[in-house]
Amino acid sequence: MSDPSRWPRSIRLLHWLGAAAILFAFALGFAMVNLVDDPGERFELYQAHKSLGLLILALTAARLALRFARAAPKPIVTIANWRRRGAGTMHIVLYVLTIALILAGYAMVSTSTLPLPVALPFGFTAPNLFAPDEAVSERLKQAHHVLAAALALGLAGHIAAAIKHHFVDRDETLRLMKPF
Amino acid sequence: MMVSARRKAALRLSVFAAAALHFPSPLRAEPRASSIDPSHTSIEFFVDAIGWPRTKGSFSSFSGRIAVDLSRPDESSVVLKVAAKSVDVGSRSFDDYLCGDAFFDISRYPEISFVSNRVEKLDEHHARVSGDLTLRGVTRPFAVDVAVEGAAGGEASRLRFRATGILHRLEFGMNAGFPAISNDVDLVISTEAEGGAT
Repeated sequence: MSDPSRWPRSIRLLHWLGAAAILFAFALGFAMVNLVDDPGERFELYQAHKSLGLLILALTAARLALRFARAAPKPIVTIANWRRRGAGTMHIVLYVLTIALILAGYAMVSTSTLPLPVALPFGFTAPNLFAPDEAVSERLKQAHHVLAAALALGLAGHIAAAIKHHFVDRDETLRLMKPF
Repeated sequence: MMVSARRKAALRLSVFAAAALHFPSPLRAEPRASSIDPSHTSIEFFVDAIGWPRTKGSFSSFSGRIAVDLSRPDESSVVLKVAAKSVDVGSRSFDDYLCGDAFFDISRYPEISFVSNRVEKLDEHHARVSGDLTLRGVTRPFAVDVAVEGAAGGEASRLRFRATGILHRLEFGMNAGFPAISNDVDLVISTEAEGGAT
């Protein structure tokens, strides 16, 4: 029996793995565009960022599937219904932004005039999905950047809310997601 | 291209003889061709791209022959063969990507070569070397301007050369990434050779 006072262990692990991977992908994305001037290093960071994106997509899809398959913890009675609904909506927004951000990145790579498939583990590569089109790829790049900014804002709100629940409201919200 | 028996003999000598056997001959009719010395030669290229730092690359595996006579430039010649797989842009995965079919396609075109067919003297310190460049199996006329940078390594007869040229990669069917990645590739080749009679 799962512990109804926490998220299922699989979801908790995927949440924190995803969190680490997403933060790392943000750092890589920022560094590869703004900080690294050596073309060889920059190339490697781009490839790592692309592969990491698909890893996060897989982690997020698995977590989303588990959200449907497994029971959520019991609601915390001290939190008003409208706030719980707001939190639920925010979680859906975070899932949608994460997936849309990665798909925009993948589509951007696919439509690039420079064909460079995404490396997967064990020497496999993810195929390019669309025909090269520079104008489309450029628009997808803009979408990727806008979605990244939106997800960063959303995650900042998510983290701020978790901290507020834990330190200000002193409720169980953050403990529901304790990794171990 | 016709190659005289004398030049063939000179080439053979330069390829197989030890350095100690190299001696200048003031009576020779043509400049002595010598093997290009990799330890004193660099082949570099530079490419610009939008949203990407200027990429500098080099090739580490090549061979060739060079014959120089500053007083009779038309007797001078150069042949250069470069192993495409030796491309180095500072990252193994980037190198591997460049070796793939989008760029050098080394499985089909392992060699890049240049064979000169004309050397013109521009002034006392500059020459233009024209010839045929073969890249990705496509042969096109190509020319470099060569600056003669004086004696190398303290030997009066040994000269240092710096050749520069702009290669238009689209002419060779290397279209990947265009126009984000420039058509123009700057080439800089530095080498040394015996200067011949002056």
